Amino acid sequence: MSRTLKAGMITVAAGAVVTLAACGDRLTVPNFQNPTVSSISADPVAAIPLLATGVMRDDRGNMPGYVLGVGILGREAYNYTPTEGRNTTGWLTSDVSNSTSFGGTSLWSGPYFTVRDAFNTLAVIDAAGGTFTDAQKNAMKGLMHTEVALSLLYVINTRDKLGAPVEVYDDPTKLAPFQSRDSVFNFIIGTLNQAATELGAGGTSFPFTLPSGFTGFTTPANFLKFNRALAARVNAYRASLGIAGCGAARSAACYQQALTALSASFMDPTASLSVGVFNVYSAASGDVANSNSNQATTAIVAHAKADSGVLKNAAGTLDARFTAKVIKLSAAKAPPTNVAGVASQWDYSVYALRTDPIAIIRNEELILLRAEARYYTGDQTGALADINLIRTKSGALDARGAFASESDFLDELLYNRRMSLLFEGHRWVDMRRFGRLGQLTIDAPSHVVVNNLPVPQAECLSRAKAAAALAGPGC
Amino acid sequence: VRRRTVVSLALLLAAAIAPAARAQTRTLTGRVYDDATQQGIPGALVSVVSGTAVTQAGPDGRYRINLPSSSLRLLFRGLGYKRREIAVDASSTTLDVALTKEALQLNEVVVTGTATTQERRNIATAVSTVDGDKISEAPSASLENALQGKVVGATINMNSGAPGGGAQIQIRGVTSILGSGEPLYVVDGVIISNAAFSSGVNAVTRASGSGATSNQDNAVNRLADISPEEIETIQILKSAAASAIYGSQATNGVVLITTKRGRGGVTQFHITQRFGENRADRLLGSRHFTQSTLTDVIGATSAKQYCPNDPCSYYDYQGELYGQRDLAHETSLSASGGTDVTKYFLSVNDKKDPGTMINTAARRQNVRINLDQAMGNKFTTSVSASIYRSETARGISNNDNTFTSPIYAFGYTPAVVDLQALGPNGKPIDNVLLKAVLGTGSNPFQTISAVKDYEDVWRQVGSGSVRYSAWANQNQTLSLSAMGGFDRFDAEGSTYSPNYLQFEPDDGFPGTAVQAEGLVRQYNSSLNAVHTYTPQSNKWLPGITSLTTATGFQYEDRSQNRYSIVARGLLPGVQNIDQGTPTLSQNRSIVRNTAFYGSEELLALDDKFSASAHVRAEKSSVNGDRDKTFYWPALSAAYRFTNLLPHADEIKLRASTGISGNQPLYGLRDNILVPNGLYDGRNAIAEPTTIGNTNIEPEKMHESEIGLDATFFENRIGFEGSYYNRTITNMLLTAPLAPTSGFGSEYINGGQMKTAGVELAMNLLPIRSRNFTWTSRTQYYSFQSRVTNLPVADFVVASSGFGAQYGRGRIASGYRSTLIWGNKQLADGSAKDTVLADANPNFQMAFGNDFNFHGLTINTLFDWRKGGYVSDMTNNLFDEGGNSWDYDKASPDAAVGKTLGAYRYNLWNAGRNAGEYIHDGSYVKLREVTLTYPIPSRFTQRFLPGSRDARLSFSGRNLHTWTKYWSFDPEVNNFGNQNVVRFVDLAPFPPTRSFLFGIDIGY
Repeated sequence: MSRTLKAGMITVAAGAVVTLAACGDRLTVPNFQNPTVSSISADPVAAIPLLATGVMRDDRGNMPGYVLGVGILGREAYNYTPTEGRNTTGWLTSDVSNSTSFGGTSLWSGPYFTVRDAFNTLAVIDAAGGTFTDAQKNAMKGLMHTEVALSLLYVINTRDKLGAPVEVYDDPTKLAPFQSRDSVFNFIIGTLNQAATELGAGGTSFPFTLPSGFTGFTTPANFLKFNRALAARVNAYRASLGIAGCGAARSAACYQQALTALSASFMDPTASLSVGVFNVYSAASGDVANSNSNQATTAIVAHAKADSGVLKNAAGTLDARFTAKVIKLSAAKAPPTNVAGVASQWDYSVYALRTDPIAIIRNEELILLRAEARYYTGDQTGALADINLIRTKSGALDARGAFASESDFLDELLYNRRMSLLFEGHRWVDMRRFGRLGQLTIDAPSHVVVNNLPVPQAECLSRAKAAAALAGPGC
Repeated sequence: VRRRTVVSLALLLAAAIAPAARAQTRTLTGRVYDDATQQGIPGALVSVVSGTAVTQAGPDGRYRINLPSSSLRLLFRGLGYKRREIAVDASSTTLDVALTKEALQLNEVVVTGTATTQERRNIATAVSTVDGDKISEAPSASLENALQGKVVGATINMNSGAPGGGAQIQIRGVTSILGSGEPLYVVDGVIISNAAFSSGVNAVTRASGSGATSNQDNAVNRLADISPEEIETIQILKSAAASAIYGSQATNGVVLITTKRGRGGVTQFHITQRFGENRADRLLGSRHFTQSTLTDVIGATSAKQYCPNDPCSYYDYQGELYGQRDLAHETSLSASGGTDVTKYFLSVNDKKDPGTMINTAARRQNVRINLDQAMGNKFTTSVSASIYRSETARGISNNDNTFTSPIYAFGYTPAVVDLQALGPNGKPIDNVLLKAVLGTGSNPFQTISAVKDYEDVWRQVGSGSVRYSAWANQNQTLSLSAMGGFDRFDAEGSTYSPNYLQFEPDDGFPGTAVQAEGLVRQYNSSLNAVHTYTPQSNKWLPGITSLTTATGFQYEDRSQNRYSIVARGLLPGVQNIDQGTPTLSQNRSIVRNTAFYGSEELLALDDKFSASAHVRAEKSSVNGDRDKTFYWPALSAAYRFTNLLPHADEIKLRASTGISGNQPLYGLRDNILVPNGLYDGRNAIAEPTTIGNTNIEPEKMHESEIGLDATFFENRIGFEGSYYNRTITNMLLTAPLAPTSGFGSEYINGGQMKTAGVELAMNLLPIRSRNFTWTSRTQYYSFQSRVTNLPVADFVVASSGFGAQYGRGRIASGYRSTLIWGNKQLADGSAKDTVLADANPNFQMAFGNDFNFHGLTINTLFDWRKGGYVSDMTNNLFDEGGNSWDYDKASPDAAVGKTLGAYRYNLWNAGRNAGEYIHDGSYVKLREVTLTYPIPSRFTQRFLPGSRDARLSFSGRNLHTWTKYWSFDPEVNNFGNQNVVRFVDLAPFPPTRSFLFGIDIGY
């Protein structure tokens, strides 16, 4: 190779290397879509309101699916989306117990996303140092822990005897072990109680604004009443199920705790029954609509036998709760021809508009919880008073007389819980905790009523290569 | 020197770039023709051996070359012909040369680097080349369509039969799970975008959520803009050794498209006019009802209402909706000419393809100017510029949740009522049958005639290069070149669904309007130096014929910006998005790469041995470490045996190995939180579903290839065989995390996948006489791809299917990546998610036969796919609706179902036996038939005065399909182009058969 050529080659090569080096800056391209973790953690004052709103938004997003899912399982509703027969077969036939079915894969990851976001927010709160006062930090932690407990309650409500993991670790690849149902319930109540302590030391205000569904519960002290309302529900569940530490099923110990919690909650027999905490929805761009609403979908309808067993008062007027919440369709709605399901002529008007809120918990449930707790702590009179309050105030029914037997009480309690909390996500859970799933209506020969949903396939697969102790139950 | 060193990127563009001629003292003219047919060989290359003068013959084989006035040797070459070297004495001025056709195109020029090429005979890797004539001879919806059955090892599937294209090319199987699955497309040196942007039809179909777009929208990938008429050749680099020159964008192969260039001499015009029509193929029809069977489906009351008397009326819904027979037409005009120093090529093309569905059509227009200019004898420049406009109205197809996808709606609509009947508003009536059963629905005649789904793409692609012959002496040359090119387009999608349509009020917001914009800007540039050493004596490099060293620098920038606005709840007739309730979304990315490369090519032992080495060093903005350099090396070698066996002209053994890469996608490298929308008017953020990875790197594919190419019997039999084995490591994965962790997944590099395959091609010239020639081409390929190591949990392949009830892909260690997994019912009634079938065909073969009889040519192409299972969800729709055309046929087991349709549906058992609707997708397709007849000159002189030649042609595509497949076409995919597997047939746009009659005139 001649010297000239060599020089030429070297010049080009050197030029290229120089250009390559000079291009280093050009290779720095930002992420246009998303805030980076580093930019967020650098400014906790701006970040925490965004993160906290995110946690509450997570829960709000899960709610319609939860209410619909447990509504279908509890024979309150159908999802007759005409282009997707699996909304019927995947929830109502034995397919629901397959980890790949529509039902089996549902109502699992959503609550854990909420838990993760709360975990992350708690970490940012802890790392915020002196940016916030201790009281502010306690208030925020109390709110986050309440959200964690609520999310895990939604999980255990659908998986019941399978139990569920409750821990979230810094390392997302580390698997949390499944805990028994009882441990999960006890973890939930423990978390609620921890949150109560934090809220109690939470000063006078949250360092961010809560959504309008929390109106009346926007200070740590008031939010504590919401926390106690949830504690009352969880304690009643624990008591009715006979969770470890509560004694036998329906024994007094945990019902007593429920009563204690109720007295610290916002329960008020004299107030409106619809006082409570709600997830609110919006039709605004970027916000989320209530997907169970009649405005958002015509596919979701009430159960074919929505009217069965509905009581009338002496004047022959139907239970006001039924007339207020259930409407008759002009034409019955059915799934596609060969999909196993029955036509229904009923629809709900519980969520008429896409902006209608969904209750997280409200006064009416609290009074029914008190009736239940009073009955099983020996206060039958108090229980009857509470039941009659709901019968007359909410249902415009006549007051009834004393309970002839426990089963008479349970019939009455469950009827009122059904009507008062119609399509709010309770029926299936209530029937199960009193061992009455067998009384739910079966529409077609291929349909089944299940005790719980399975562990979804994605969870099973992610544990398949792990130690046996970490395996998912039923995987 | 037989070895041709090509020193300019311009040679990516055409084989005809000549160094500036030196002292010219005489002109030689003549004709290069086929020795059997006596017809001229268009584009034949004429060059001086050991000299620099080169020219290319015109369409009639005539050439003109300026030569020094000394005796010399000329080399004549034509694509598909055996080369011929002829001595020319110092005084000759005319020379006609006959060339002999050969089965393998051994002397074609193959691109081996940014600035280098080699002759095919010396190439040590498998490179497929498709000639422009082969692409444009039969009508095609898009370029992919025209390539089907012509590239061994490339799996080419049309996503649907809709006008305007939309297709996938997958070269040598699965290479990536998360990264790009698309080959890199390079037009005249410009890396072009093959992005597919939806026009926003998801807002109407709600196939996936309620956003403007989804990957089920049957969008057109933008390779469709490229007109086959402007293409000279397409070269497909398949092996890593060949494609490693493109570094981390090369694992899926590289498709190099070279457009036509000016040939110099008197300007030659070429006009083509074609007319024809498109017809829907393999329409299914539906069940013929009686009052009794209709009662089972829609209930007694409705059955009596809509079918008062037995048997019920039957309407051919599909035949009517897919019965559009508008005229398809295409007009092409090209001009090629110039002088020794200035050569130009101009082409204009306008193609209109009506769809078979009413209200659908595609139109593509383009203008291209290619210019080559020599400046003195040291500089040459080339400029290419083209403008494309593509418009499509493809209607609605595929999955939907509003019954707006016609086949979906027909699946559930008994064909007993005339849905074309007009209602009081003068529009087709509502779908009363769906309404009767499901309380909702849509009448496809009403929907499709009113919904506007329109995409308008304006695109410009341009490139320029300068080459400088810096140095040349007897045995060395050095040339420097610079090249730059850009591709930019904006795809404007607009969808409008008026408020009066039956399904519109279902969401409480009657009327939907969408604007979906996709903007693409990308450019790349390079600086190159090529040094060739051609020793005159072999004193200190014995046996070496030539050594070529190339080095250079490259820069690439790609940006994409997509945004859409969906407005719902419109005033009557208003199509603007500022009405109603809007939803906005945006997706933006920029990717930048820099690279430095060096290569060495060696030719030795009387040109029988060739070897090359190449390395590319690259940095990219998408890598976790943007300052880290990744290296992509390649090595290859080949040896040609002559006279090894009797009748064997030549047997070449070749072997190569190389490492190419696949870049992380934009954004994978960032550790982010995500906007969580608004809550009660306040902003929110949350953890992402998938965790970013700040250490993300390109995946690496190491491929080894061995091959044997041979020709026998004076080149009348040609054989090419390759075996390759690819190992993909450091795979880009969306590794699943336990949902209980609160995350869905995280991006990682890891695992290993192996793909191995065989490609065989046999070219024959069985008959070759003056009046009759028969050329035959057979190709076979198969491959298998297996995940050999997966460090994370098994996971479902994204967008591969609709759940275990219908089958979908799974990435699982030890399993083939193309398997369909789904439910299989166990004895206890529960279902197990297991392997049901393989979506990958056992093999694919193609048979091309060309006959030439007294100038009349007939070209045929058959395409055979053996195996490859498909999730036939279309069949499931029709069975679920009790509406399949064969529903009433005898049931194999009355205990399961009374009729065949009921039997199938019941056996499927709400998805517990997914295999029931997973069908064998084997087929044989008659892809192409073309008849061409040259009009005798006595007619052309009388009727087309001034014309040089003219021919008539009749051509057809997809004329027939032989298959046992139930639904329309096993080739389609609901999810469009997919990396790993594609097997979902769900209410597709039915396949299209095309017929065109054409006339070509040359002036």
